[in-house]
Amino acid sequence: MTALRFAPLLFVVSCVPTVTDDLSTITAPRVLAVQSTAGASSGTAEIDPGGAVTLRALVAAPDGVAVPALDWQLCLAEKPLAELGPVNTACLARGAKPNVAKLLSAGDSTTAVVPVDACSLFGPNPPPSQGGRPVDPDPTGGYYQPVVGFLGASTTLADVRVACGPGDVVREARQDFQARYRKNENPEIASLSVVRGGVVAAVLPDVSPGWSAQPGERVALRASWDACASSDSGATNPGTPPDLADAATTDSGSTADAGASVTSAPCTGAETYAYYDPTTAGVVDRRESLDVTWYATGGTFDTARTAESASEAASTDNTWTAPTTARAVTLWLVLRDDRGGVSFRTYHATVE
Amino acid sequence: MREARVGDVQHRDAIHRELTDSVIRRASLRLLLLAAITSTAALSGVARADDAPKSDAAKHKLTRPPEIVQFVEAPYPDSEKAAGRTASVVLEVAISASGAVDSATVVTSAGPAFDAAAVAAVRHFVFRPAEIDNQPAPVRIQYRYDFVMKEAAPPAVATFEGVVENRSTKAPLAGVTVTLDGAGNAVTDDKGLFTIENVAPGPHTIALSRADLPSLQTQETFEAGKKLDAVYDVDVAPPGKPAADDGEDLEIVVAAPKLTKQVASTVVEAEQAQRVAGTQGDVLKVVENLPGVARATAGSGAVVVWGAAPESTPVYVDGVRIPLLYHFGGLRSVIHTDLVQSVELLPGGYGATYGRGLGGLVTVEKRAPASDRLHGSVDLDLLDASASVTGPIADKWRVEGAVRRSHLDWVLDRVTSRDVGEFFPVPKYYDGQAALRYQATQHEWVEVGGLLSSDSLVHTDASSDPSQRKSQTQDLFFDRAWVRYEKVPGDGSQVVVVPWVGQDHSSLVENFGGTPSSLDVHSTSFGLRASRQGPVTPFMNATVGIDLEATSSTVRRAGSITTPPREGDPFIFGEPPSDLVNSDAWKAVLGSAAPYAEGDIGLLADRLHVVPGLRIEPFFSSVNRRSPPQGDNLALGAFGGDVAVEPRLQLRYALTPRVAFKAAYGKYRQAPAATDLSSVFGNPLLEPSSATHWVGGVSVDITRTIHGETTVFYSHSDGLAVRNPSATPALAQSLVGTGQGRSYGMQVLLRRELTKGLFGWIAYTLLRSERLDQPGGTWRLFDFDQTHVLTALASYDLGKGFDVGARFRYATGFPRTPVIGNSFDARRGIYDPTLGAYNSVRLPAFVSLDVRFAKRFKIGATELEAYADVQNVTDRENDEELVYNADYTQKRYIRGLPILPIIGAKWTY
Repeated sequence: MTALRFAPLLFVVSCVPTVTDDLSTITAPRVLAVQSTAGASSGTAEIDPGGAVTLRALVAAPDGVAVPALDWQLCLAEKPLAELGPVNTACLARGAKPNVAKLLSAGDSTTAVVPVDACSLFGPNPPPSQGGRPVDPDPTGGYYQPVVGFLGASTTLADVRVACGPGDVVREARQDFQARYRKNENPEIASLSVVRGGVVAAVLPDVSPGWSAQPGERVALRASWDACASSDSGATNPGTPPDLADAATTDSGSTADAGASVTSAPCTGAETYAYYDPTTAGVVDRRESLDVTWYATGGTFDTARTAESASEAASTDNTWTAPTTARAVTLWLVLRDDRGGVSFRTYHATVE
Repeated sequence: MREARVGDVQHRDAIHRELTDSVIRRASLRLLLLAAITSTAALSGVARADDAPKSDAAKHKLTRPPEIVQFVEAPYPDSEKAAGRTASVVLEVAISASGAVDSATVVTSAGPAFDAAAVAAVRHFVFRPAEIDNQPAPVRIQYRYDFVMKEAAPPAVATFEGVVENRSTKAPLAGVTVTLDGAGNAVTDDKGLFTIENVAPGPHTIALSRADLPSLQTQETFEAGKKLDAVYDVDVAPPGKPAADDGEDLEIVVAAPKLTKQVASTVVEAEQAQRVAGTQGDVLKVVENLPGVARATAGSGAVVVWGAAPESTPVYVDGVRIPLLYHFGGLRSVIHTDLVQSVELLPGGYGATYGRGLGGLVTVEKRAPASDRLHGSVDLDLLDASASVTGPIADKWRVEGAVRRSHLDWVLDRVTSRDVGEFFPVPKYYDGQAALRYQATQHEWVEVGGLLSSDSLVHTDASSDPSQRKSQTQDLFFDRAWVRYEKVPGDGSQVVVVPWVGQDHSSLVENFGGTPSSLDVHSTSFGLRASRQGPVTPFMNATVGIDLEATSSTVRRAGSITTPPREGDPFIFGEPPSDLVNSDAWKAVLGSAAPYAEGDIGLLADRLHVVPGLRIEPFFSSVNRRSPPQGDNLALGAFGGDVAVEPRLQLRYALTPRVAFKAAYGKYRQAPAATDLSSVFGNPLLEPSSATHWVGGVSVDITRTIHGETTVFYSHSDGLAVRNPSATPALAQSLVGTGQGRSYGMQVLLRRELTKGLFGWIAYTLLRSERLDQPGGTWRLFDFDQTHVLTALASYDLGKGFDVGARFRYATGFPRTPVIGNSFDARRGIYDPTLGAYNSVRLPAFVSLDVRFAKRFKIGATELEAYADVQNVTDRENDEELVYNADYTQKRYIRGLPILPIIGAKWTY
């Protein structure tokens, strides 16, 4: 056992050096987020095996800087257990072999078809080899199909959440999960507001020419999203949708359940979802956690990423300090939920 | 003994002569001279008598042959003896009618030296005259003198010589009575020398006494025909101070190297260890300064010996296994200093009495409860406070106990304006030990004891960035209870029986960026060590025993398979863990019962010691879940068994009294960790791993108090648990036992024993430790590999209660895996590092100078010691770890502790 091999170091350090962690300032073209949606453009953020997915990247760049085309490839290689990164490292190389990755169309957005055996390659179903070990889920019980984007020399891993269900669990739990689970919706930023005295003073427009600020001004901002009911899981979603049932039967003959989803009463805020808890072998309700990552071509944010500790919160605050010189500034907000859902909006400000 | 026999004139007989013991001693060689007479009186002596006409000869008859009544031994010519030659000289001897030898002439020569010696000896023979016709008459005979060398028979007794001296000043102590139980006594002369002859072989109790000394005893084993040289260093009470007032100050130390069965071993007595700078008076912290031990990762307190994983070096306290030697952070050991007699580190190649570890071994010898009166101490410094007590409570009953509790968190809370724990997790710990001993006789006692230890560490980083929020709570509690029976009859044998039981509970709960992980382990352990050792023959001691341990563990684990990281994982400090998580709960029972035997055979006049040993260890493991939960399937358990045969061999050859060569070989096994037997995170069917050690070296007593030692070593291990490299690993095989390891290098120790108030050592280790994760792969550096480790320390008693000490350390930095790029994880909104070759770079070297000052004040019959232990006195900025910025485009080093004075005081009574 090599537990805590380095953890004790936390105790003795007397000097943690300062490193530049300001990733909120855009100084070069970068991918800030990738949104995946089922189908062409407006589906859920959770894709069935064999289903089509559209990936849309948020690429930010300083004003006037040319942005190269974004190349995509769909990863087909399982990640060896001994590789501790999020994806098989072979998928992170351009021009990977066909059995490792499949090229997709280039551009800020692309489409792909999730492999029918995605739940075996990247999910809870046993791998093609007999008795193989399934992939572990994320803390929300989700499994992901890796898609890799290349922007110049930089590499972006975009995971697509695949509707695989809880895997090979006890029958009661599987049925309960099928009855209660709802596919994830991408969250949406409802508004960005200026806050004064703790209350919203103005809602900022997301279209040019945007809003204005004085040089060096500290602007208290609040990003908001819809509030979701805390018990919207289960009761309104009886039965197993045919699409997921089909997916389960086409998944390499797997006996694992593909889960269930009904998208009635979708919510673009912090959704409540059914979660299979392996420690109790039961299904419980959980609520998503949402956070906002803040970017700008100028000025600084107090914090690059914010979230409220209360899961019921439908907003988060940050403070942006405008540049000290007059100029136009572009701001990007990326809203993520912890089930792989994402959305983003662009704002424009003029410092004058 | 003398045997003389003369045959009649018709035959050749022999005279056997055995030299006396004194002659043997002078000559250092036992000789047996065989002298033979060829008596030819009737045929040739008489017939050839000069004055006897041939006609007369025919008329007379030899009625009695001459007979030797005085044999004179011929000295063996030195030149011939040195050359190893034997010979026979045939002489013609003319014997007069009175029996005197009139002449002796050489008939058959064996060379001038032999001839001259034989003639000279024979001329001094005296015979009873021969008789012819029943009347004494002169005769001539032929006599063959055989020069034969023969090994002397061993004497039946031993000789005991030695010197008694003042331990501090090395001045000889005259007038000390040295008494052997039932074998005599002697009083030391002005030079402190004594000699006792005719000591019966076997073990003896030696007592030293003088008016100003208390009764001091030790044990020695004597072998027939050998001389035992001993040097006894005795602590003498200051003038005017009755010895009985402070028995603690009086201690007998056998300075002459005892026979040691361990080829590679370093023992440090508590008295020295607590004076080492940088240890804050903690005896057991001296282990990190011994040769073969890597400098631990900052704050870990891990004991990495000869490139073995920390968990491969078990720690025993008087035969009771404990899970760790130090509290969290490595600040303190888990045993109070006052209860420690000595600590021994065996880095490898050790004997059959211990096992269950692929690496080294740390054994702590607990101090016996005091028998004279009540003693104790109270200790207070910035880290913690402690108290101890030891002494008799009734006739034959003695107790000892100690408690300690940390207060560093309390101190920091009051000297800082912010919550220090928010930035630096401050360990909290406490421990306690107690023992009750019944001294049935002087040679037999029973002890009931126990100890416990608790550690807690809480760290929170409440970042506003949810991806950087961290919390960690780590707890460890363990206790042990034991009964120890020991009998030392005084015949050189020893019987020890130690049954023990204990519980461990460790808990780790973490959350990093919203990814939770936890590991909770409850274990109950049982152990039994029973052994008997003693002389089997005058030249052989033997130890037989059994070593049994079993541990039942209940483990719950949840989180990423990468948390906590394993050796071999490309760990990047500060990197958020994988958010792919799982959970498992399982029970495991692991155990083994190892009978063992070991002999210590003294050969070549005790210059060569061969110590063969054998340990036969059946391992067993039982896990309640063979595979992860699957649907409605019932859980099936798994049972494994394995019988390990572990031969051990140590050799020591004393080339001269001061120079000895040594070598060792041994096979070792180690059961898998219960935490590795998960069907989700590990492999329930993991088998014990194994290792083979080869050790060789030479030790030199440069002076009586300065000792040098060089050791080379190589170890190879198999069956190490490593991550399954497969892209599609089989179920319940997240770990596989395909790992291999190898470590090789050398260590040098130059040590000065406590003399005239000064002691210290220089320890240097050159080492390379590597791992191979799968067959056909490439050897890589072990995570704890350190090429160079140098420790030099010294402590000096300035007198008048002042002590100063210093410690210098240099250690190569640990290997690390470089980050050569990054990728953006759009789902999590964080960057992931792109790694270079595993462990292909190193942290910068660590260099530190620590000093210690102490002053002792006498307060009545008690003593107060004030001390300052200053670590990193030069305030050098040591780089302890690599840290990167969020997108891994910048790197910096985390610095270690700056200059850190630990001030404290200890009151003893």
